[in-house]
Parts: sequence; C-alpha cells; structure tokens
Amino acid sequence: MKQKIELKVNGKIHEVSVEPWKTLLEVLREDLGLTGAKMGCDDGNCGACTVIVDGQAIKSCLMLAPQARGKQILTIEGLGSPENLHPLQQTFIDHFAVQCGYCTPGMIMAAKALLDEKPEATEEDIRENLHGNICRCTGYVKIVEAVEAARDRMKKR
Amino acid sequence: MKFEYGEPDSIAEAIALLARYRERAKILAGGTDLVVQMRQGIVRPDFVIHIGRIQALKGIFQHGEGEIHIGTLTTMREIEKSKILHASFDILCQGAAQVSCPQIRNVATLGGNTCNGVPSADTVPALIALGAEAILMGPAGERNVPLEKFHTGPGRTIRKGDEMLLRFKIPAPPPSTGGCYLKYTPRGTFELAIVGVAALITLNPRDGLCENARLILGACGPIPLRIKNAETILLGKRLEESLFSKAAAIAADEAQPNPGVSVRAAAPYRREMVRLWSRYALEKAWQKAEACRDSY
Repeated sequence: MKQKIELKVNGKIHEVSVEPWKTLLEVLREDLGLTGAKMGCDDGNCGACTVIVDGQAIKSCLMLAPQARGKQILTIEGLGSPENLHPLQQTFIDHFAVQCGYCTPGMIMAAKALLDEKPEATEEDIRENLHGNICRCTGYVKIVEAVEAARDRMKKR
Repeated sequence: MKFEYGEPDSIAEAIALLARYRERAKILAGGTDLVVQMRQGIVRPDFVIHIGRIQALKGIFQHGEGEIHIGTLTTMREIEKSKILHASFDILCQGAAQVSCPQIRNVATLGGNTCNGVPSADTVPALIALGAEAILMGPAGERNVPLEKFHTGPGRTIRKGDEMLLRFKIPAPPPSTGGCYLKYTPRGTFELAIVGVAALITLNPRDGLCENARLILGACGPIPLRIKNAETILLGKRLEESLFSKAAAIAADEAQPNPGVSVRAAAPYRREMVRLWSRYALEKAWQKAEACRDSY
C-alpha cells in the first residue's frame, strides 16, 4: 500500500506517494526524476548510488524511502549548476577523472561528505573514504588527484 | 517484495507490533543488511518495523564505575569516532572501523550487526572479549544475555520473535588492559572477513603477569568462537612471543571453518590464517596493555 511521505531533496520539499519497499534511490530516480545517482549493483557494493543524508554519505540503494522522511537529502543535482560548477565537479573535469561517468556522481558525493567534514583531508583519507565506490575505468589515480585539487581550491576560497 | 511498514515512536509501541506479528515481522534498524536480504528475496516479512526514530535506542552513555551503555541504534561511525569508547573500549572502535565502507558505517548499527547474526560480524568478537551483555525487551520485560551466549547458529540468535534488543552494557575493563581486533581480507575492510580475531589482555599493574586474556574468532565457525584453552595458557604468565604462538596454535586447532566449499576461503587456509592473525592480535593487545602499565 502506498504511503505519503515528505522528502527534502536539494533544499526542496517533495511530497511523494510510494510503496514502503521502494528504496530512496528508486524514488529519487523514478518519482523525482533525479537520475544523477545511479543504480549499479543494487546491493550496497558499488557506491554509484551515493547521496548525502543529514551531512553523511550513504548508499541510497540500501535505504528504504520512508527511512529518509524528514531528513536533508543532497544529490549531485543539488551541488552546482552547469554555469556554476562545484569545485569537485570542475576538478573531475580538469583532471580527466571521468571516463564512462557512471561512478562519478557517487564519487563526487562521497568526496563532498569527506571534504565538508575534513577540509584538510590527506590522500590516505580520500582513499579510505572513497573505497566504497567502485570505478571500472580509471584506476582511481585521477579521481584522487581531482579530489585533492578540489580540496586545495576549496581551502583558498 | 511487499510488506506493511510501521514506524513506532516508542519502545512500547515497537514491542506491541512485535507481539502482534512475531516471526512474520522484521525489525529494520539501519537496513544495510535487511534491505538487501529483502530485495534478494532471502527474507520475506509481512511487516517491517522501522525502529530508527526511537530516540531512546540511540547513544553511548557512561554509568557508575566506568560501565558503558550503547544503544542498539548507535551507528558504526559513532562507535568508531567515540571519545568515550576510545579511552578503555578501543577494541570495539577497531571492530566498528573495519565494517565495510564509510557509507555503510554511517548507517549500519551495533544492534543490527549483532542481531543479523553472521559469523563474520566485525563488532561481535570485540563485544564478547569485553564481556558485554545484550539487554533484550519482550512482553514480560527486560532480560540480560551475555554476548557470548547470544548467537546460536549462522543468522540465528537467542532473541525471541517478540523481543527486541535495546542496548549493550559493557563493564569497564581493569587498568592495564589492551585490546586488538584484526580483520583479515585480501582487499581491505570492504570485504567480509576471512578471519576476524579479537584479543584482550589484562596485566597485573604491579608485577606485569597476565591476569586475564580473551581470544575470540569471527568467521571461523557457525558463531563467533571463544577459545578458552588458548586464554588459559596465558593466565598468570609473564607474556612472550612463544606463548602467543602456542595460544595461536590452539586457536587454529579449535577453529571450526566450514569444511564445505566456501566462497571466501577453504578451511585449511582459514585455519592457517587463524594461526597467524591470532598471534598478531595477542601481541598487539599485550603491547597496548604494557603501554597502559607504564603510564599507570
């Protein structure tokens, strides 16, 4: 049976009517049309569905939509705009940290949660905090460089 | 996957729902295990009770003589980062810090890791080593169960269908205690443990002899295993490497790795890893206990 729930996504309140077994990822993509978060494995292994809930990175394929009721949800769509990219979005482009792009939104959201909490994050911190995100193209070096560059850029601001 | 879904605001409401649905219900805490199990059709509850909004089940509190209470909903991340726990209960922080990846640790709970009952759970060996008790609540009230007796088989626990886990109670370890949890996986914490070892050593602050020892194996049998024979040979001794090797050999001998085809490791390999990682864990725990004794 469908339930009405309020979700706060990227600063906007959405009222959706969903079956309680729908995951947050499914509702973001199918009901709200926010397709930035990707479904890769659907069992919590790949990290492509990473979004930020109440300031912490989580895997949205592992959270039922009603569990997220009333919490602040941030997806890649809420990060920057094409005219005004977030530093992480810009450095991922500048450092060629994107190949097929499927893992990128999850990588960026995991990196954002880290840099918000620890603006001085080291390479080791970055690797530890992104190890729940799988990229099958790049080999991670460019991704880590992009996060380090974003960190340095964000510190200067 | 279809079920009814309820979000009780209080423990009493949750208990009432459990009394009504019993085995047909599943308790949802963080969901990092349960949501996957439901989506894959491994469990098919009629009713899901999401307890995540019950504030009384959250947090880490100090009681009386340094005893610690940890609410069932406390996340791995909260445990990993807890300043209160780092002082004397560091072994539990080490276990929590090695659960999967940060996104999972932000959501997964201590109660969930315990009640899910997988033999490879990273926090359970540490809880057993510390002598933790689980406090269960049912229609007749509360009961305390030592963690050592909590698991009855893979995925099975002593919790009855109408009971829920409220919190953990952990006594303060004596001074000069050191603990270490080591998880062996080929590719980092993201994988399930091939072997998990929790070692806890307490030294007499004056003469440095071993007063208490705990050695618990994860992922090496149907439930986490306490290796009492390995603990006993350390008691009253001045500890040294050869004793740790002996204790580790006993652990390798008493481990009960699944003899069948295992996805992660064959039984003889797992046994060898028990020998190695038990020795490392005991040595590390001992070094930490010695460091505490120096500053005592």
